[in-house]
Amino acid sequence: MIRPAVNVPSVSLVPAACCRARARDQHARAWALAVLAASLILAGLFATRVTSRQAVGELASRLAYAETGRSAIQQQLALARRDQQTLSARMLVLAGLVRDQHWARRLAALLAAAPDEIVLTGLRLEPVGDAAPAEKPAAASAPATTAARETLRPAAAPRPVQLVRVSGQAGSNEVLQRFVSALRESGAWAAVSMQQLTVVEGAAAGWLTFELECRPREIDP
Amino acid sequence: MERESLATAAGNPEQARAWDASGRGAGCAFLRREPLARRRSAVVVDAGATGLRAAQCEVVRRRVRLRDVLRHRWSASPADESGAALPLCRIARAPLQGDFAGDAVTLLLSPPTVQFHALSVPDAVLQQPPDRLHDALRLEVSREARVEPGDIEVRHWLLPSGHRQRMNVMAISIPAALVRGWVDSLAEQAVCLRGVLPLPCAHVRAVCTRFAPAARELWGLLDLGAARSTFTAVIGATPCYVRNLSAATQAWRQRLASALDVDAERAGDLLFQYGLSEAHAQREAEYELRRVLADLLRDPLNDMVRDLERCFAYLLQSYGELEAGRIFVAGGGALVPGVCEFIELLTGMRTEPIARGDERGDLAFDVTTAGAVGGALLEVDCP
Repeated sequence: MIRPAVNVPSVSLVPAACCRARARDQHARAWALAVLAASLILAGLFATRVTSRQAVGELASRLAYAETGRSAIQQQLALARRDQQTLSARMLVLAGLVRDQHWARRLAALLAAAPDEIVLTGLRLEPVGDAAPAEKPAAASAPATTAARETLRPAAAPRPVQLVRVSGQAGSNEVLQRFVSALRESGAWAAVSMQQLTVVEGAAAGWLTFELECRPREIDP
Repeated sequence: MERESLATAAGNPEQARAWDASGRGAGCAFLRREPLARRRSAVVVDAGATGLRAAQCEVVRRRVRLRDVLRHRWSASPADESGAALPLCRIARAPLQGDFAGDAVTLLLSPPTVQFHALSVPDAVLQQPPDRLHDALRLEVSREARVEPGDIEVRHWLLPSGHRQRMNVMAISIPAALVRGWVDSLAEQAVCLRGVLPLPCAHVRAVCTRFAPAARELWGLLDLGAARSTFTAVIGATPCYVRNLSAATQAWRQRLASALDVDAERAGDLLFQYGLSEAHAQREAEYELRRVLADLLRDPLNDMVRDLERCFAYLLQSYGELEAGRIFVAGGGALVPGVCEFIELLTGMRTEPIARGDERGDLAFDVTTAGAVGGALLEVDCP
């Protein structure tokens, strides 16, 4: 700034009242501007707050709606899981019924294969080795875990594998052979083996007491 | 504070601090309220007899630069002697023209609109609080001007010490109703009259941009106008003596017109084209014309120089230890070729026009716009 080495007198002849009025106007204008600016800032803050509050309310309502939806979906999932468990239990029962009918057919065929000179005196089922115990529909009350669901599947359930021991008396050896051959040819058994064969004492000649072991195909497919 | 130290304050750091603190000098510090921010720019209008000059200075990155300068020539002289007929409409339009910006103007006024009074104020009065000192000065000036104290606005500054007649205060006055009328009239045109400055102070400020006077250096400032001339004696940077002179370029023009039997406009053209200096003549006819013009104006020029010498003689009588150094010439009369050489030849003092080129790129003015630029500098100097 170019300033003189010594100050030049600078005096204004504008009356003091005019100076005061001008200063008052300047201050009033400055205050008005300040108040206006503050009002604008406050209005902006208020608008922002209202807008944000509306946005928060809207988000909260959306969240509550989503929570409601989640609860409904969870209820539906629980119902579906319960239905699945019920259906699994029913399937197990049906599977058991199917197995029972299978054995019935098998035993009926066994009886039908016996000639007239054969008298069956006993029929016994024996479990084979470490085979699982006879299946029970206990899965219906099992927890609905993944492992439990796996055990509930009919295909994966351990089949009850049993040997059939048939005891009886035969009129002759040929009749007994014919009975064994009929059993082997019936296809229901993997193997039919003679376990015991004795001659009945005191009876007519040729009467034999026998015991056969029939291995179902589940053992030796 | 002792009288001696008060009187010498005009050229020392204490005075500088006083002016810096008050912004307008000690005389009117109590009149102002502190502005909200330091002034960054100022539009100053110098309405003279032949035209209007306006300048705007602004502070940009702590440097003052000249924003714009306006020169407008009247088609007819609008101002009377009292200054009451200032062309306020044109003044109000000044900030709207060119590159000007703002809604406030400061007016520059010269004698006789502003009256200068050198006063001898007792020490006891000088030691009074500023408002009481102001009241005392107003009373003294009103008694000298024969008006009611409430009818005038008075400001003052301290004069350098050493005056043999114990003049220690320079007071300036103006009719208060006149300024109030300007304030109201400009306010009706949405312009604020920010200040009314004496033109000699603005010229001194303009001179100080190119010349750094010593604190006790005496020099003169001649405002050679169209209707009137004003001589200001300055010690350091403090105007300490202001006097109206009879010299005026309009009178010179009329004298040439009647002597050469041409109209005043043609006489003015001859005066400002050829002037008085025979040394600048390129041809014989031109030499003869310049010599004729100098002969025709010799009497008024001699009267003007005699007035200048009387002023300096009075100053040297009042301040015995000082020595007159140089004279600066402002106003349209300084454009007359050879006028500065004529004054320098007769007074023996270095005489040069107030003009500042733009070699430094920030401030430039000529003899006609020096007052407006100096006033704008004064305004941005003070908050």
